Amino acid sequence: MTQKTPKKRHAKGVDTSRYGYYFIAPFFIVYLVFQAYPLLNTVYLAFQRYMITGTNKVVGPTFYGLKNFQNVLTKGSTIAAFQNTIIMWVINFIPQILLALLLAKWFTDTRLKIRGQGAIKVMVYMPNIITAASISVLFYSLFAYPQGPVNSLLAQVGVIDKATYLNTGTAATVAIPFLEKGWHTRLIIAFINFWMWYGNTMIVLVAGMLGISPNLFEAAEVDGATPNQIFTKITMPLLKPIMLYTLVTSLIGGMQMYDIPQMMQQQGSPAKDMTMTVTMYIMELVYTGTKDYGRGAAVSVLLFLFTGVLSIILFFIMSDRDEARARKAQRKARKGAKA
Amino acid sequence: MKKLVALIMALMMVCSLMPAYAEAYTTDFDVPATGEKFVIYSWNDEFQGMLKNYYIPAVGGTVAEDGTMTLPNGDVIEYVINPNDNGVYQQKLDAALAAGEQIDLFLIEADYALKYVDSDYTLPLEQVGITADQMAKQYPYTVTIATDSNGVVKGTSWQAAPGLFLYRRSLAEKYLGVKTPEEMQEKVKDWDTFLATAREVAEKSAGATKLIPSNGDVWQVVRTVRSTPWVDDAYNLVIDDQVKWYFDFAKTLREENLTAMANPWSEAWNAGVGNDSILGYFFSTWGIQWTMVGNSGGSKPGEGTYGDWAAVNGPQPYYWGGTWLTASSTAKNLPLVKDIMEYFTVETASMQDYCLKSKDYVNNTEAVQNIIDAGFAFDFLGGQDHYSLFQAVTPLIDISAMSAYDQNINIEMDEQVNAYATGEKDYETAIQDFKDAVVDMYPELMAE
Repeated sequence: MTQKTPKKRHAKGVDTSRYGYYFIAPFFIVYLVFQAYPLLNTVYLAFQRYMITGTNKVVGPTFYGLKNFQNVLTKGSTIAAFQNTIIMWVINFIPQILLALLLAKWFTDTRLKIRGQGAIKVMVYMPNIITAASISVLFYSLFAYPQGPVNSLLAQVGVIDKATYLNTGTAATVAIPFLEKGWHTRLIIAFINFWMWYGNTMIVLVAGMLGISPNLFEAAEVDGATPNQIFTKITMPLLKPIMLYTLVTSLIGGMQMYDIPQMMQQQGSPAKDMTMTVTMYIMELVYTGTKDYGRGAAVSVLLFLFTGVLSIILFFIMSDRDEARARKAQRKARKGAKA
Repeated sequence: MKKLVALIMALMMVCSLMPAYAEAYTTDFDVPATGEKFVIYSWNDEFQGMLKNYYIPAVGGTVAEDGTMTLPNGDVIEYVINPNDNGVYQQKLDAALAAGEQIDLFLIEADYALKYVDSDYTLPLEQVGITADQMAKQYPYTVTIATDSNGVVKGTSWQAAPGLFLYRRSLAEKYLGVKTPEEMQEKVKDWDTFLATAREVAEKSAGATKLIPSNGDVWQVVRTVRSTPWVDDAYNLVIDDQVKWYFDFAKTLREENLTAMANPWSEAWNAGVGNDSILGYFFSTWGIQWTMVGNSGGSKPGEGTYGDWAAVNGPQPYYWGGTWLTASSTAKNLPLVKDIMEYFTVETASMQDYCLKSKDYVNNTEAVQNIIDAGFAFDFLGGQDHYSLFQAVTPLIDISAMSAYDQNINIEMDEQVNAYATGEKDYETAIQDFKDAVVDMYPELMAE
């Protein structure tokens, strides 16, 4: 008897179905405090006039309507920052996806059978493991002026005058101040991003290609398709969902580009106008000089809308057309069968 | 017995960490323990070193091997460093103050002193226990900078920061035929002569040596002798003729390649003190004993460039920097704040001791006079008495061009000056972009 009672109580009195909620509760609490609240608060701040001036006087918060948005869109560097970010992202993404596709194709090609694939993949992925900040510091010193490794290399191979590149002669013949020139710095930043991320993209694409049923490739081969035809007619169309994923994640990451351009920025360098990204601009609005939370939040909201809208557009362009067509065809076929 | 041996050995280790001075200066310490950390905010380890090498030994505290400073009453000092680059120090300091985090003492620089002095984040010194009488021996301008708009003194400095032009004796003789500081002063007596000398150095050395590191070094001088501050009382951004002059001067230097292109605080700029690429630097008091000696590649005459330098007045009397100690509104240990402030900024004996050993230029007229009277010679400057030069320049310091916005506005201007000097933008575009950037950064300001 004494042994049976606790067993019964257990079976009757404890409702285990609630346990699930307890287990997932931590995530939601953390999410609400650290994600949802800041997100909503940013939207709230975007409509407020709220700043701490250069002399530490607090203004606001008072309701400001759409004035913050009007301000950041008509004055300041918002548009330029968006342009810079997009340009640097595009310059990095096009070669990145091309190289990743090429490597992924080689690695999955059953006829090529490249040796030491594992080692090559690790090496290609390696730059992604190092912190972006360290890589930026590395490139910052590589392109130092006038006595940096790149400048002395250019002098060695005769691109710039070897005898005079350190400081002498007229300004035209000396070393190149890479980090003071907008386009030079943009290309360097884009290159770092490209170099850091093509390995990652390649791994994703390899996974996508391996997910395609081998039967299709075999059937195509039996039918006498050339490798090129197989790639363009079978691999690419079936890879679309993965490509979309890569494109959208890279776009979101790219629009939030911060650490690399920030570290590459030399204080007082005129290149800043051409390399300041949106997130850098938000940081500057909120943390440098007057702390303008309203305008900072407004640019953040714009960035959110921009990435959101762009992702949706991409989603529709890339995925829905074929599926919709297929669905339509299916419906038609069903109708035809009925009739 | 074993314990005694251990104690002696521990003491010896601590003593070996202290600089080997003939006689250690000591002072009484009667601050009660709070059992809490004493938090100091700064942008570099200069003041940390001063505490370690002077204050802590003088009051009988200990410095552990990992640098932890413990006072005789057992309280520990926590020294928080956030670098100045891109304004990081102010960002972190503002965030900590706004959040009400404990900071007992924080350091501010001339560039943005007004921002903190004119805020509730700093306590009046009277509240700390330091009276106006105690500060009577300080140079008046250092007190003025730390006084808020209501006339309340909120900060105190251990140093005055008059500036001089420092040059390498050997390089000057080689390229300019200059043998004495008096002859050198003739070569840099005004900006036109200065420019001619810059051309001469570049030409005679075939470009291997330049007179100055960068155009930014010229700005260090010019910005303090401007007639108007960046921002007037009506919150207008003021761009006067001296700015225009500086833009053109920078362009000339750049076009004719007359500088070593080593921006202030860059690696090449620091390294230039120890090699032959740069003939001269504009430096104020702290820059000589803190930056130059550290970068000279030696610690006694004959090593590196140590002993090969000399000081002259240069084109204009100016000041550069200066650091003030302020008591934070979130301070928990005001008695210790008071004791540290008195040790470094009020008491003649301790300041004279610090001055002689560190070669810093202390903010105490009596201490400085005592040192000069006793016959002063600095071996780093080849036995020159540069304190006499400092003493002559200090009364000429004019701080009327100072504003709370200086640091950030100067960074913005730097960017536009470089764009103009390299020919990327014309003057009108550069100035317009500068105005836009400043108003973007400080929306409360107006640019006509």
